[in-house]
Amino acid sequence: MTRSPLNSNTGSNKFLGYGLVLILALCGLAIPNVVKSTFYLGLFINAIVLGIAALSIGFLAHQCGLIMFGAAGFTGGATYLFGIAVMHFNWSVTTAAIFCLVASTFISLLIGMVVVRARPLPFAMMTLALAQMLRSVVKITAYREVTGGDDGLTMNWTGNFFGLTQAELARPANFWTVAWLALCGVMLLAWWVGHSRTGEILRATKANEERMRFSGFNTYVPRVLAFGLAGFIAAVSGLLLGLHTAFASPELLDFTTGANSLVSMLIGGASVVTGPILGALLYTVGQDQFGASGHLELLTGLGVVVVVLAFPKGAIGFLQSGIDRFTGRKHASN
Amino acid sequence: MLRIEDLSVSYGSVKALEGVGLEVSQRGLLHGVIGPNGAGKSTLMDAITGRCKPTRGRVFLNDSDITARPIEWRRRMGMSRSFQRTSIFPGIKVGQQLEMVALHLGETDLNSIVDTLELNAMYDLMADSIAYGDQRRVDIALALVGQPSLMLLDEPAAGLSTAETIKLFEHLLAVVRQRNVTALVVEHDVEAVFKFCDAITALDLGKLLTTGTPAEVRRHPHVISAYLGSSA
Repeated sequence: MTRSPLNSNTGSNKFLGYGLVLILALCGLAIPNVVKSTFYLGLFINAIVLGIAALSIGFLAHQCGLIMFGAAGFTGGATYLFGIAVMHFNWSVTTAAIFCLVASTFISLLIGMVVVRARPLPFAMMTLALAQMLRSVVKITAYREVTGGDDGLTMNWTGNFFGLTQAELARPANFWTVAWLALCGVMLLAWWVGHSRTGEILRATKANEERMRFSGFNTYVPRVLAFGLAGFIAAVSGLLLGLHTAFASPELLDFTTGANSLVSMLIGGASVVTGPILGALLYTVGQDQFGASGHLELLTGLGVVVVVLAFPKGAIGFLQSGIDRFTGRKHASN
Repeated sequence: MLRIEDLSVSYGSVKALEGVGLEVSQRGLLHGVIGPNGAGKSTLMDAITGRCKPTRGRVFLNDSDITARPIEWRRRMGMSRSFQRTSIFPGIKVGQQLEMVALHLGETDLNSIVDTLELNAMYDLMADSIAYGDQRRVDIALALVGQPSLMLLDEPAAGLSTAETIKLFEHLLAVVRQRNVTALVVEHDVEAVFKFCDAITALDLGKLLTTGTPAEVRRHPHVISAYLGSSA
């Protein structure tokens, strides 16, 4: 019996790929040396923050077939957790950041234990309901001292985060390194899980859950873990926002904020980890351009409809199929 | 190996299965389950494998009561199944899905399953891109992985031509003998069942009519009147 190996990449091709990715990641650190405009650097940072949130949605969509409408609850919730830890627990910024990520992931796992049992539409609506509930909670007058109520939570801290003071973190040129490294980290994490056995089980469960159960697999635990990971990635986005802007507002928890991440994921595609990031970049730049025309919502709506209809697998899917046609290769993404 | 006692399943006021008892103790057998439409054959499969919850009765596998056990637990204990509508993993290569399940269930001889079911040619193809008859064999291969002691096959020949049905049953017979697994096969093609199966159970209107060898079942008056007709 002769069978070709399942993974057709040769060792040297893989090595070349990893090397290329590493070089690109290192080159990214030098972007502030190329882009001197504070405005554009700030725009790119916004794209990174949005892209990481979109990646959390895209990861869950691609691996589990579940669309999270309430991603804002996880990003905004993390910003609030960070702010509360800094302002009310008086923890150092690094401790607060770690707390924010750990607590967000733990809460995501708890929520995941309930919501991943639901079918895709109820799942989407439950996550949305949770985000909206959280938005209402932070606006409750009785908690105003903790959350800042409608005015939001302004953060002030002394000390530094990896050598950067609050004022330095607010400057795009300084913050770029933190944002870029966080982006590389979460992309690597999502890629690694996607290529792991857990990723394989998740995608097979998405393809046919009943057959997975009849093949002896527990399909529940991997989905809870995937939800926890998506929550962690969303929390990284929220933490970056907190570190950069030092401000948390109820709007962060709003559906429209989550919709930005969702649309970014749709524009970029979710089949590979770079898709949502590319989508967020296109979306952020598009928003800037459309905003300048004075018809932001009209043009955004038109743009989204055109992109979704023309590129159902997103920009990255379009690029992939173009490359595959050019190289004559059949691509299997995960 | 498998013992079911007084198994009943109701959907509202409809009794799909009523007080069925059955014992399958010998390994390496092909055991057919026949009955006209609505006889409760698929419901019996679902109730045994945990896909539906019995309203009454118990299911034993190797003398352990598994009635309340989840599907995946039953599979790990050696009870597998295939479905009336092919149930494979679309978008995943045939070999990849077989290897994934084999790794999980500790199957060490995947090659022999692939060889016996003649899946070599499609090993590296996407499961949804292969012919329907081939997909049925992949479905059976997924049920065979992990050395199950009991395999429940719900209409494995559904949608196949007569020639394909005969070929499939030849494969099944080879598999149950080679791997010493008993297969409980629900099948509409009565001729194939009588030709290939070692034992047959006949159901009608959710009740057990009889169980025995093909010759015994063919002679049974209730089977003749309820299912085979006077010409049988």
